[in-house]
Amino acid sequence: MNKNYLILTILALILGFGILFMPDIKHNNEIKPEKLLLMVDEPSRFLSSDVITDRLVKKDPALVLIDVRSAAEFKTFAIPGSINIPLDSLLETSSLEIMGTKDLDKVFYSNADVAADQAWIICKRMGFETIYVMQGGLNNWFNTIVKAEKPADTEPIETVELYQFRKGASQYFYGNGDSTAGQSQQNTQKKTTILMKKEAGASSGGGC
Amino acid sequence: MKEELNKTKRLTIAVVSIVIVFIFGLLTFQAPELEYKLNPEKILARSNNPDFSLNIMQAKELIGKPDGKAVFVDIRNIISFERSHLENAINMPLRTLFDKSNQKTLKSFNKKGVTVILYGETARQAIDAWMMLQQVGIQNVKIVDGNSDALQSKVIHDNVISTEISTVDLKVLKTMTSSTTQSSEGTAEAPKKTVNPKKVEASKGGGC
Repeated sequence: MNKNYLILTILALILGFGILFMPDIKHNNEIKPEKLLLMVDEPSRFLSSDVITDRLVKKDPALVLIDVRSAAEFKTFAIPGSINIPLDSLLETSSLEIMGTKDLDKVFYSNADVAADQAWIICKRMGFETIYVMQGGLNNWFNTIVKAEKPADTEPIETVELYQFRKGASQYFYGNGDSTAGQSQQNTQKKTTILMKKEAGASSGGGC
Repeated sequence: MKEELNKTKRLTIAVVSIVIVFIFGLLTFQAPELEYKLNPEKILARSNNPDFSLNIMQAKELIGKPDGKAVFVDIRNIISFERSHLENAINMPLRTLFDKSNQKTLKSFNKKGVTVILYGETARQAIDAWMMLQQVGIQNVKIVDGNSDALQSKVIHDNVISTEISTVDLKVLKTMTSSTTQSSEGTAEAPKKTVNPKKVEASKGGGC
């Protein structure tokens, strides 16, 4: 009878030890790979640069724009009002605190949207909510908002309104370039702008 | 005497039932089919290392080579794939990457040391797939940093820039902010011809 007890104890001990070394599956908040893949395939995480600009101009307190480029790039040029969390320090405690704030809409951007999307996938996997990616990134933001191109008079009214909004927003951020003194210098610089606009137009299609 | 026997019997029954429960548990226990092989820190470290990305030129060099060292995987949807795709490319739409058959194929490539080269509608779509595959342990994967149209076009680009390069033209900004910071800058500011990086897109036109 004693023997039986002994066997029972040993058995329970061995199995208990076995459980100790089982693969640890404790990441409760983590989203399963299958589910994450479907989320990744959904385009709803992308916000257009117009939507974000609109919220910036209105000083929406629930919006945090996060620049995931390096600190040096951030210093050279960044969207006014954004904060810098370089991609390699994404998982530091201070950054995770921002991610964990519930009522904020966190929007990632990088030069394009590749690095921003990587940040999004990692954060989404860890279970963070209300995170987004700015579509097209900084390059697209710059080209649509700062360098907004004037539509032709024949364009529909929506296009003209969109242009006026973009122009207004860019003046909100950077002031009106063609006011005040310094006319001559201004003029030469204005010419540069026009020149660049021409270059930006891609030639499509050739013929005989 | 009889009581003694009963006790032993009860004990034996207890031991046997416990063992049966444990064995049953062990038999039905199976690891989830897909699980993360990399923790967030590791996948972040890999995201920061740009080794995984091939530019269009590098990718094109690999197209014609049937040496079995690399295989192109097209992650666009079936319709786009049917319309046009690289020769010998395999179609695995992003959404179906974790399907059993696809996982089997990818794992067998991984075992044989064949590099999987992902390309999609854009570099962003490719990076999505790359992130998901890395995280579930399929590691020998690279992406084409560019869109599938450029990859498939026969035109040779010698000026291939990465998607994540800034194309923001700080000169334009200077002209815009010059009204506010008039005194500090200016005189040396001769209008130079700025060279905008060429777009990666292929020219669609043909000649005769």
